[in-house]
Amino acid sequence: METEQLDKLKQELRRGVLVLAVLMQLRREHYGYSLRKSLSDVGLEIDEGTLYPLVRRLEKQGLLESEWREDGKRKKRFYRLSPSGYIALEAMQTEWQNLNQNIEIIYQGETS
Amino acid sequence: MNLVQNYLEQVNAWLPDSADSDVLQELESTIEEHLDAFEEENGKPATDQDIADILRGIGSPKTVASRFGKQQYLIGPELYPIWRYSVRIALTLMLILFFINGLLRYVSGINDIFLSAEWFMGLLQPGLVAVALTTIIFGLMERQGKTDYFKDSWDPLKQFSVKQSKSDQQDAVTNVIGDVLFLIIWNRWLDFSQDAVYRLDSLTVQFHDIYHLLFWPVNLLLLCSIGFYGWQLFTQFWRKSTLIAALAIDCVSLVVLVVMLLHVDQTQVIGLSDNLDARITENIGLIFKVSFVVILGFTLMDLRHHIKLFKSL
Repeated sequence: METEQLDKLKQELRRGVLVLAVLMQLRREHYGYSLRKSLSDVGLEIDEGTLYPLVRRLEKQGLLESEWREDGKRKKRFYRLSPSGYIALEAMQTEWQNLNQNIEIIYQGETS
Repeated sequence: MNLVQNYLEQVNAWLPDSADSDVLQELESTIEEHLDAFEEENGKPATDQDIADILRGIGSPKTVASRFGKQQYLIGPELYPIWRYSVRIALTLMLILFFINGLLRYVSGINDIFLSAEWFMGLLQPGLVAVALTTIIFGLMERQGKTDYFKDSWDPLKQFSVKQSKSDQQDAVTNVIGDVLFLIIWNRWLDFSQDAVYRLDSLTVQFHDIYHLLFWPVNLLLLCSIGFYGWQLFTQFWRKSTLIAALAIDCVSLVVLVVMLLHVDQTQVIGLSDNLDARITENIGLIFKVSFVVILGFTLMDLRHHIKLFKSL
C-alpha cells in the first residue's frame, strides 16, 4: 500500500479520537498553544488549523468553558471542561473502552 | 509592516462573517507563544525568515480563516442527490422543449437548421443556463438552511421498484431515436396537416382521410413517447407509475397503428412521376403496410416486456 494512502487512513483514525483526546486534556485548564503542546508531548500531533476551530466548536456545543485572562506578558484564552463536558467525556470514555474491547476481540479472533 | 500584523490582517480579510470576534486576538496570542518558544529554544529572537516559517506552519491566511467559519459548501450532502436529479430533469425538459421548438421552426419554414451541427451547438447555451439556474436555486436553499423540504419519505412497505437493465436503457435510446425519426417523417415528408395527400415532385399519393385526422394525435403521442423514454434514460428504476405510463403509450400506439394499418390498403397513387420505379407506385400500399407492421411488431414487443415488468412488481 502506498505511504500516502496509509497516511490518510491513519489520519482518519486519529480524527475520530481527537475530540476525546482534547476533552481529556481539558480536564486541566489550557490555552490554545499549551493544549497543542500537551497533546504533542504525548504523541498526538495536531495542526493548529484543526485544533483551534475544534476547540471553539466544542465550546459552542457547551462542552467547554473559556475566559480571557492575563498570563505573563499577554492575555490568553483559557479553556476547560464544562459540567456538560464532563458528562460527555465520561460517555465517550466508556464508548472508547467498548470499542477497544470489540476491536481486541476481532483481532484475537483473526489471529487465533 | 510587521509580518505578524500583515498576516493577521490577511486572515481578517478572509474571515467569514460567522467567525467569532476574538479569533484574531487568539491567533495573535498563539503566534506570540510560538515566537516566545522559538526565542527560548534558540536563545535569540526570531528573524523575519523564522517568523515566516512559523506562519507557514500555521497555514495560509485563506485556509486558516475558512476553518473558523461554518462548514462551507454550495450544496450539502442532504440536497446534493436532489440537485443532481433536478439537473437531469431540467436538462431533459430543456432538450425536449428545444427539440419541439426546433421541429416547429423547421416544419413552419422559419429556419432549416434542425438537427444540424449548428442546431446541436445551440443546445449548449440553454443547457448551461438550466444547470446554472438549478444550482443557484439549490445553493440558495442550502444557504437558507431549507434542507428539510426534500426529507426522504422512503417507506420499504410502499415503494417497490425494479432496477432497469442495460437492455432497458438501450431500448429507451432506440425508442427516442425511432420516435424522433418518425416525427420528422410524419411532419416533414408525409405532412398530413392539411389533408391526407402525400406529394413529392410529380408523385402524389392519396391516403385515407383518417391519416389527416391522426396528424396531431400522432404528433402528441410521439412527443409523449420521446419525453417518457428520454426520462427513462436518466432514471434507474421501473416503478408502477412509470410502467403504467409506458403501458399507456404502448396501448395508444397499438390502437393508432392498427387504425392506420386497417386503412393503408386504400392508399393510391394519383399523380405519377416518370422517374419513379413502376414497382414502387404499384405497391405503394404494401410498402406502407410493411412499414406499419414492423413498427407494430416492435410496439408489441415493448408491450409484452412492460407487462412482464409490471407483473414482477
